[in-house]
Amino acid sequence: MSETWHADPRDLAEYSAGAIADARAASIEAHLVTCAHCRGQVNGLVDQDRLERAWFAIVDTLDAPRPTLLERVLGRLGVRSDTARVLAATPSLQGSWLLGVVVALAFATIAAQSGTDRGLALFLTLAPLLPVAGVAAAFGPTLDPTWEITAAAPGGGFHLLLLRAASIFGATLAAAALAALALPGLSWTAAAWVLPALALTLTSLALSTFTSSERAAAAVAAGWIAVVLVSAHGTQDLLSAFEAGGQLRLAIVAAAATMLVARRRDLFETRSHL
Amino acid sequence: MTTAVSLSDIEKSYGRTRAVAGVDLVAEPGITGLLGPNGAGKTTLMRMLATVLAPDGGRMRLLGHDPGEPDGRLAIRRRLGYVPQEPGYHRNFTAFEFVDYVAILKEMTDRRARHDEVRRVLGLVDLTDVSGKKIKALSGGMRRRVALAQALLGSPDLLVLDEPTAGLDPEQRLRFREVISAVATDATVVLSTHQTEDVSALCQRVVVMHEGAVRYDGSVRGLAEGARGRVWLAADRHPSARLSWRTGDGLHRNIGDAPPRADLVDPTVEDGYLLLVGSGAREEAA
Repeated sequence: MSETWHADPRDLAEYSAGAIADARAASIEAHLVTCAHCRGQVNGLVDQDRLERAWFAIVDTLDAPRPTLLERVLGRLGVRSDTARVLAATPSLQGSWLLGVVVALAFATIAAQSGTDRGLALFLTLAPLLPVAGVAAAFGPTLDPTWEITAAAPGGGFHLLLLRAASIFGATLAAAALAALALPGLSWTAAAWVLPALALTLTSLALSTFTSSERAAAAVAAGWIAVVLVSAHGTQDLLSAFEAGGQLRLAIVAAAATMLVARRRDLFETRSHL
Repeated sequence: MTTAVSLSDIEKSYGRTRAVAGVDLVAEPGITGLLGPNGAGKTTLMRMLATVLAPDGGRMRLLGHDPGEPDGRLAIRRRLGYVPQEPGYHRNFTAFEFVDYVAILKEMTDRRARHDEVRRVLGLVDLTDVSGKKIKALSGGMRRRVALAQALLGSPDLLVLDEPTAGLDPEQRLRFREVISAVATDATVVLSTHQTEDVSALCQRVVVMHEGAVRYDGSVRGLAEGARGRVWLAADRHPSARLSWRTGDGLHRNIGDAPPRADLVDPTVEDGYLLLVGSGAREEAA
């Protein structure tokens, strides 16, 4: 369709400068769609730099990665978008993994509802192992499909490992804390798994400088269960591993593991075995 | 100018298996091809060049830095592009999202500049049209190109490419050669491959590895010339041939110690390579 009239040049100039009321701008835009002559006039009036910036903004909006649910949540918590993207790629921060954590905690919490020491011991033994498994799955060849590309990038070494480990630990801690609130007769036991969780996660990280992260996590899990059982057998108290003496020993283990991780941090950067 | 790659007496073992046994290698800007059969130690060496695996022994300098030192390693990684033999992907990411993710890990913090760079490298490998597609929906060849795109981010000075042409069709390989040969005018490219055609078409220099050791290090032409006088055509497989196969025109191409009056032909790079690593090569090397 060809137009028989043309827009006022002053209106076109104001439109091109972005200095026109919305209603008139809409009217001129409707006219420009069908009038090649006026489009030609506008072409000569528009600031080319501004046009280029606008065009790239459109292209960028179309290309830009769509934030996942996790990225949006992290964004709300004040995490930078690029950091959120890196965290969103963590295998053990994916929805399926987190669902697994929730289900495991739900079963343990239900068991604890029995009101017996056995149910509570099950919860307290299981809860610290969840961040151990999550952190083990966050890096390394087995579960991170991009580990090799990630490892060769300047931002992919120990710093990334700590970032992911802290995020997984935080996420699992939050889920376990909510589950702990549902334990019968809220008492010191609601928090008795926190220090074990920290100590076991750090020990698993330290051991993963000697072997694969999966083997390290498996060894820590087996060791932890053995400690709980042996302690319970020796004292006839299922919860003895979680009382003051046990917590103190775990604090020492956590400190020793932290020192070992710091000392051997280079092995997270470049592997000596694959 | 600093030598981009300088390896001296590099060793790496897995248990009792010596994957890399005393390798010396120097590489300058241009393309160096690393040729060898499966299990030759190529991937282990490439992983060491990419700083993801530490050698057990030997001296290593990359881009003038020691990858064994934290500061040196970081400096190398800032100027390194790497395509592993089996690049993994977050399959729910689009091609753009995946390359953008690696760009973040490569410390490109300015969002606009990073996205411009992602578009540039996707354009280089001809993936602009599918940049919004999920990686799980892309063909194997397209995924290899996504892997190459991420390696090109930031125009690295050292490109380590472990079998980058695996799974590419002939047209894609041609495009790959165009891209890599353009990059290699300034950068040092170390490319491992099974394909002698890639080496012939691209490399200024070729290193042949076999059983963890370097068997040849020199020009591509020199590798072919090593087989001169040892390749001949005959109606049948000759008893003195180390390797022999029936070609499309019905004659056998024999490689080995040629008998008198053999119908000798010009050797190819493949002939030279097969002579080094093919059946019986071990006995000769010993």
